Amino acid sequence: MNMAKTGLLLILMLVCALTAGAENDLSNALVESVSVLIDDLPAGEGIEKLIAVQPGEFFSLKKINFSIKQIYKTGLFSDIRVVREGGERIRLTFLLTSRPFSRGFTITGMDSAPRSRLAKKVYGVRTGEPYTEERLRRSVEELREALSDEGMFEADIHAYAEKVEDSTQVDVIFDIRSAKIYSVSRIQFSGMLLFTRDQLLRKMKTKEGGAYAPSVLHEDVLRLEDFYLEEDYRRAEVRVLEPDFDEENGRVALTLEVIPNERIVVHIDGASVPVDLIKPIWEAQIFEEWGLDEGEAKIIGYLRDRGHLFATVSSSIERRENEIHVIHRVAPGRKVGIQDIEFRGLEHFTEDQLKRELLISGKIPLLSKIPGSRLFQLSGEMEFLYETRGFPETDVQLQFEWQGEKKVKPIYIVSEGRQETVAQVTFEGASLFPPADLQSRIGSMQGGAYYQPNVQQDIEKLLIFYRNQGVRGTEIVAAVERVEEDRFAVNFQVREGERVIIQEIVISGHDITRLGVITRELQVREGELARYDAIRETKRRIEGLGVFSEVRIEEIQLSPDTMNLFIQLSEGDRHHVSAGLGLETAGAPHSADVWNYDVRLRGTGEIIRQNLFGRAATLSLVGQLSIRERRVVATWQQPYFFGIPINTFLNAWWEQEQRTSFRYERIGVSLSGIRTFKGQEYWTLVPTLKFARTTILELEIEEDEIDRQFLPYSTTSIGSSVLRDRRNDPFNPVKGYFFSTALEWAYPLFNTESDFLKLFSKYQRFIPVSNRIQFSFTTRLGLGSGHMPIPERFFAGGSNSFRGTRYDELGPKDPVFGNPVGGKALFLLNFELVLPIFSQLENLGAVLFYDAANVWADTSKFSLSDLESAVGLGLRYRTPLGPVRLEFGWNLGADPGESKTLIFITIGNMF
Amino acid sequence: MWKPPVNKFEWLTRVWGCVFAIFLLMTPAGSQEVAVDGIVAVVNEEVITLTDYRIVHELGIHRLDQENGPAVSSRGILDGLIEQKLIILITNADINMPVVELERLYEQLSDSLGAELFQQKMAEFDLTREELYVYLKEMIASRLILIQRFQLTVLVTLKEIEEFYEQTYVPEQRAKGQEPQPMVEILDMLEAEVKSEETRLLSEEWVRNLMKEADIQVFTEHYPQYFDKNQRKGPENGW
Repeated sequence: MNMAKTGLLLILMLVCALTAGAENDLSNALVESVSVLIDDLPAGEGIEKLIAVQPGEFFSLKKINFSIKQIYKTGLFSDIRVVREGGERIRLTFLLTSRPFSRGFTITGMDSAPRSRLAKKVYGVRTGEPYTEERLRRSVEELREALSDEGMFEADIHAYAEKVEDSTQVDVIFDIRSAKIYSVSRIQFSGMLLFTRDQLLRKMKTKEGGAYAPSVLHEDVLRLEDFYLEEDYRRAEVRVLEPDFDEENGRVALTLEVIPNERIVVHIDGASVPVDLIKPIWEAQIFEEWGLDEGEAKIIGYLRDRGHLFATVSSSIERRENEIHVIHRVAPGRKVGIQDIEFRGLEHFTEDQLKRELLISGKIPLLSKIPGSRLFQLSGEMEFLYETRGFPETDVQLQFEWQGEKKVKPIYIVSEGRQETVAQVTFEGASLFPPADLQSRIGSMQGGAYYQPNVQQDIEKLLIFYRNQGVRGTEIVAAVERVEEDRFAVNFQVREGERVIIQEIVISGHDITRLGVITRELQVREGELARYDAIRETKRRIEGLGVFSEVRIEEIQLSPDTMNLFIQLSEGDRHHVSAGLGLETAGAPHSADVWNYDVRLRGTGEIIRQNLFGRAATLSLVGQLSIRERRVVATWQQPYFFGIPINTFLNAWWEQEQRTSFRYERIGVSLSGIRTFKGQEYWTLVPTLKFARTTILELEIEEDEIDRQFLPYSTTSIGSSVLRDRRNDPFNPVKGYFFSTALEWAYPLFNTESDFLKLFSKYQRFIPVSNRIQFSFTTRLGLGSGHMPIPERFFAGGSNSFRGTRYDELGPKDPVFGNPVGGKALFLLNFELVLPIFSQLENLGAVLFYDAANVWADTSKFSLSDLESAVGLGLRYRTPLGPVRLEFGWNLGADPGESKTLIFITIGNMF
Repeated sequence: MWKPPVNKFEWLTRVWGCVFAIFLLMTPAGSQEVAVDGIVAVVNEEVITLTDYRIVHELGIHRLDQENGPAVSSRGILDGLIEQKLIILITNADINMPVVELERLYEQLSDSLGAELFQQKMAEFDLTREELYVYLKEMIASRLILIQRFQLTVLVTLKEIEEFYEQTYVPEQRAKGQEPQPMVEILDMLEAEVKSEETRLLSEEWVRNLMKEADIQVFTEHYPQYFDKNQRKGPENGW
């Protein structure tokens, strides 16, 4: 029997020996197949492109390892495993687990918990964040801490996640089951209070008998410190000592320690300078000398800005009991006006060039003013400017020349000194691009100014150039050598990287959007160089489709000269509904009594559905309703027009509008496109095809003034407009210009009645005169010919065109009813100057304006000597959506019986 | 205890049972699914794979310059990798090491493992010398960062040296049966020991704080053949 046992054991050992060893020896094994499963389901093609191992290759742990890291970089998977089956012929399977993302969280339980405040302090599981157990744990801690801050201690929180069906998203729920709350039994103060306990308690929101919340107590500490600050105890400290908790009764006793420190009183003698200018300096612990110096600098700057260019200040500190008195004795000197500045000793710059560089050119004569304090700063600014131009030793001295008793002319005496220049620029180690190409990318050039920071910028520019040419891993350092006294040789030592080819482009995250819609925006292709500027442009264009909330492009390096491009997309919300309510004014008020002014409600509603059929198309329905007008517009918008990149709009609308002398109803359809010229940024072309049928419902002019046969009438028209917008801000422009011209040709097609040609051009210019003074002008020209029914004619008058008449009332009138009939020619000229009023209210300004305009019945009557004029002034307050305007206009040529003075209240810019 | 079969049926059962067992053992290796590689840990979105762990473990990188140290468990090696990755990520260290030093470490690994086995392992992982240098650099860099961060800033007082002399050095010497040297004669050595200990404590505390703030996930449960699930150290136990 023992022999049988032994024999059996030997057989087993032999078999084990035969099978062992085959386990780990895979170096000669061939990969028969590679498959990918995501959450146990077959994956799409995209992910397989990231796997470096291919069927038919030898098994390689290195390639598998690399593939795992590349797949993880996509950010889509929380776990990746690779398993194999087979011995000599291996079947590899990549098992990927989708990474869950948080769709957001809700806080339930404890009704008294301030949910919105708590939610702001939880970061780990916010919408869009990847979800992990660790993040959930952290978020629970964040919430617990936030609850403690709100006075709910040792909270028992049950947190869990619920998976959203058919999605990788989860909803996180925090259920607050219980927490300890304490009431304040007593508030005590210690230290030198200087005020009564009641005075201090009145400043606090924490009350005896009320709930204890550390966040509220922290605000109370700040309130108390502010209270002491108002009483000139500028360095007062209030500290909360360790609270005394009575666990059994759920109460806590609080003690606040007050350390008022010295009372600091600021005196400014000899000039009317607000002490509030100096007080903040002494709120922190500061060396007294520094505090005095800073105070003197502020006082002198303040006085100089008000014309006291030669003010002097002496300062001292006096200590009296528990007080520090900071005393500034000011000798303001004469108040002087500043004559135009002069420069002497200039060789490298002309005076105009220098003024332009320093932003002190007087764009509008008599209206340019340099603040007095800046006069003294200009010397330093000029020295810095010269330094950047290669002049390391420039010295600028400011002198004054009296022009009478009350005016001085500032004179800057400039000693430019020697200029350091670049003797030569060389590129060492650069073989991929000719030196001329590299030279054209940088600012340093032979004979040009030498300035070390410019060389550093040149390195950055070269690195960007290499990346834009598809080269990665380039390193550049600059070696500068002095070859002569003031001449430097700049040698850029380039260690070029590798030209990288894009092997695969993988796109993911487009559940609804069609792949073609995305690939149409690609500026790079597989097999091409990985040009960085083209990759960035791709990102910009995909974002420009307006259907993705996030677009990420990752470069996944496969080898030194190949990479995969991974485009990860998050589709945004597709449905938007909005509604608005506002006020409209029908036109200029009929009396100066603004409280009787007619102000009416206006409502707007909008429904938008985006990314229809996955083609990045948008369908919107907008309705506007007010007493004066009603409008419903349906718009279909898509980014391409039969494959051509033109943002295309198909509109259908119905509208009804009440004008001064008529009311009309119109229905129509139009097709228009918006196209920006390639390589000519800011130029936009908008061609339009339109068909509309217009019915005039009420006419308050003689019918002879228009052709009766054209009631109602239809138009088909083709038009185009060209725009160029270089304003810095479309709502509150300060500088730049805007130009547009639109031509519409209404042709009697499809039995339509109208036959006219209409041109309208506009040019606006905004000029900043100084920091807060702005000048702007607009000119508008409208010309028309042919049969133009009254709704197609030009009208002017009112707060947005000519502020000498009421809305629409400029130009020819109906002889019987006296209502405006519009015209076929229009010219408008508007000038505005906006001035500051209070330095503290930067958004409030005063405006002076001059308008000149007219409307003519026919182009033959057009004449620039036949313009009506209006002047006026007003106030405007800048808001993010444009200014609120209150304006008073005087018509300089009003007819007898016509109102000369008009008041306008408007929202939005005049033009 | 084995008993002889009592009848023919029992004999047949045992024989066929053995044949079946042999058949199972003879089944070509790998017809079942075998884990080849995968994510074992993620540190602030940086992945450590099973292959990374195996390279460090099986080539002995974790024991470089510390041959006389205590044995480290598999989970301990992974934890070391996690700390190392975190230190480099947080400090954004630029890892530059002289090639001479890397070659020295390479030779040290080879000698430690044995040249033939070392080359076999390199072939198994399909590693080139330069690719191995990457693992060496990371390990050495993380150690250097800790030294630079703390050793240069740690100041040792005379009182601490005295305490170390009396509470540690003297008892150790006496336990070895040796006469302790006077403190003044070994001041430098004592200072170095105290500094080294303080550096170690400070760096451990710093790393612990880093771990608390870091986003770390561990997936060793998928690879029981490499990680004993009883060795646990992780977020739930407090980094």
